[in-house]
Amino acid sequence: MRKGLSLILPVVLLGIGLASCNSEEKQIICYTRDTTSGTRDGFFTGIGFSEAKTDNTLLASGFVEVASNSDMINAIKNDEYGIGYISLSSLAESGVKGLVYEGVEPTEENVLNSTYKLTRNFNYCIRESYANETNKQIVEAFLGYMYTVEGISTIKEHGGILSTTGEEKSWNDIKANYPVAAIDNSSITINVGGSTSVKSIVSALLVEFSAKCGNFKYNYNPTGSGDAYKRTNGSEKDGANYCDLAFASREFTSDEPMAEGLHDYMCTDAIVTVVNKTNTISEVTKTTLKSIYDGTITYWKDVK
Amino acid sequence: MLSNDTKQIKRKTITDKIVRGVLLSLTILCSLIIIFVTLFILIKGLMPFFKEYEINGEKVRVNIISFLFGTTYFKAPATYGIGFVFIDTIYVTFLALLLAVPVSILSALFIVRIAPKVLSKLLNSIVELLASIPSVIFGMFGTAIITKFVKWLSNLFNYQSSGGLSTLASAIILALMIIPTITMISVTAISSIKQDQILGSLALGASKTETNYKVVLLGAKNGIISGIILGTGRALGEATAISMVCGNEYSGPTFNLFDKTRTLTTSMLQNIHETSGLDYDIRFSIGLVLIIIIILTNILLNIVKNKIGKKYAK
Repeated sequence: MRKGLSLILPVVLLGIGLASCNSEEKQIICYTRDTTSGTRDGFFTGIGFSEAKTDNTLLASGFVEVASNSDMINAIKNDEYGIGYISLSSLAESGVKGLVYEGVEPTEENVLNSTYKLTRNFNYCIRESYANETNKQIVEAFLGYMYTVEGISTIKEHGGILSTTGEEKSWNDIKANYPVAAIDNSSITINVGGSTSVKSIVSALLVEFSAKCGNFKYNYNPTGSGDAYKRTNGSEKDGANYCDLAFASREFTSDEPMAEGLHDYMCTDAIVTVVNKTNTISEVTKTTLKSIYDGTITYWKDVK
Repeated sequence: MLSNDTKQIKRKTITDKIVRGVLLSLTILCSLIIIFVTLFILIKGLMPFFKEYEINGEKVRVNIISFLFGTTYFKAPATYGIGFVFIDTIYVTFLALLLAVPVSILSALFIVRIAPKVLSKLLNSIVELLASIPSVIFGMFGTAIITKFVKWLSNLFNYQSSGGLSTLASAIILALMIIPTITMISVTAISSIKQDQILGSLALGASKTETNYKVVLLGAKNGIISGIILGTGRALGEATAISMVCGNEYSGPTFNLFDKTRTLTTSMLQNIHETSGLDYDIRFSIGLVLIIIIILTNILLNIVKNKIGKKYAK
């Protein structure tokens, strides 16, 4: 037992010894979401640090990876010297401080008038040809439902931002345009996929709309924006994982050619840089953010 | 008359046979499940080293050497390294045992030998209750209280920790979780010491304290070590609670108590719902490593147990 102790003590003392290395200045602790997160993708693309979207080794040393939006909020609440990013929809009740980005306050208004730049668009795309006419009609009815009063309120409730004119119709007003909604569709399965970032919005819409459209079944398998085009009109459109409807949390590129009407804008998501309430910083620029996350700036006193 | 007896005997033998058959098949089912799970993990876990994955158009395969000895968890496209995770896991578990073992053994001794009957019963049920608290509750407690405590402590040393997410917080949480396990088993072991032995020791003139330490604890050592083995197993396998306080360090190893850490289980758990392909399959490989470590630790501790048993047998 004595021998054991004499082995253990140095280890513990070493730990404490290392811990007491003094540094007067407070370091910035970068918090990030994991590489599969859509918010991370949007954030790093927004601040011009796209290389770091899927590569943790490029980030400032000592960064912390958190698993979800709420984890991020808790972590920043707990760390006076932390910096992180969350979805704008969760800022109001989060208890952390949202930073002004490039001189613009992070509000829904500023997102809609395009002055707040740390945003990304959610888009959808549909197939050019369907295996089954009913599938096509259900997808069309779904897109119609997305912009009804009910659909918009669901999108907003789950964090999507979109402008409304106040003249949107309710589903009851337009459902006559979609005869498919009146019949029993319980034998039909719609395959939905694409970006994981829109998961909460799309799942909520699907649950609601299935009940309103003859209880059609759906198979929602979000795997990433890259699969949105691939599985509706690209290389996997006739494969086992094909989709009738898919979403992307970015713009479609020129490598993803689709005819007019097969893809469109759904809503906008905004990302806010956040710090602890006690932090005196209230503004940040794109270049500063990049320098913080790539490790060029490591102390809070250097953030201007 | 006689034929009636034979009938009865026959019936009884048949019942015996049926019972035997049912029990045997249940046992076989149990062992088959274990074998199946291990085989499944083995096959899935070895796959990343042999199968080619297509990532961004490149065909890649994981290198097993850098996987086992690497000091950075992941580097695109397909380099995984869990060497440091392995060391961190052992370090955290060791620290947790360091905190938990003395507390557990001494409280077990108190419960059985020193406390009045009523208090002893009460304490025993409290410990049993503690053992049944789900790990996620410990995790919540950890994020709310322990990390704050660790942050305060690190500020005392003038060291900036990441909001208290640290090796120390992980070790404290694990210790809290294994204390009931070790205590309960130690209580059973200490209770089974024969009254004669204790009375004999007292009659020889040893004081109560001397008897407690030199007769009771020594006599119960085998049971206590079994408790420690179970506790170690639980500590190595715990994922949920620890993933909430460890901070998921990306490279290492780290021995500083106030720095973030990463364990094998948290590496498996993190983002498992969001990921796919190689990054999903690699978790089975980590699981395989974890199973091997747990088996090796059990063997090692059993050897220690036997050695100590022999040493004091004379």
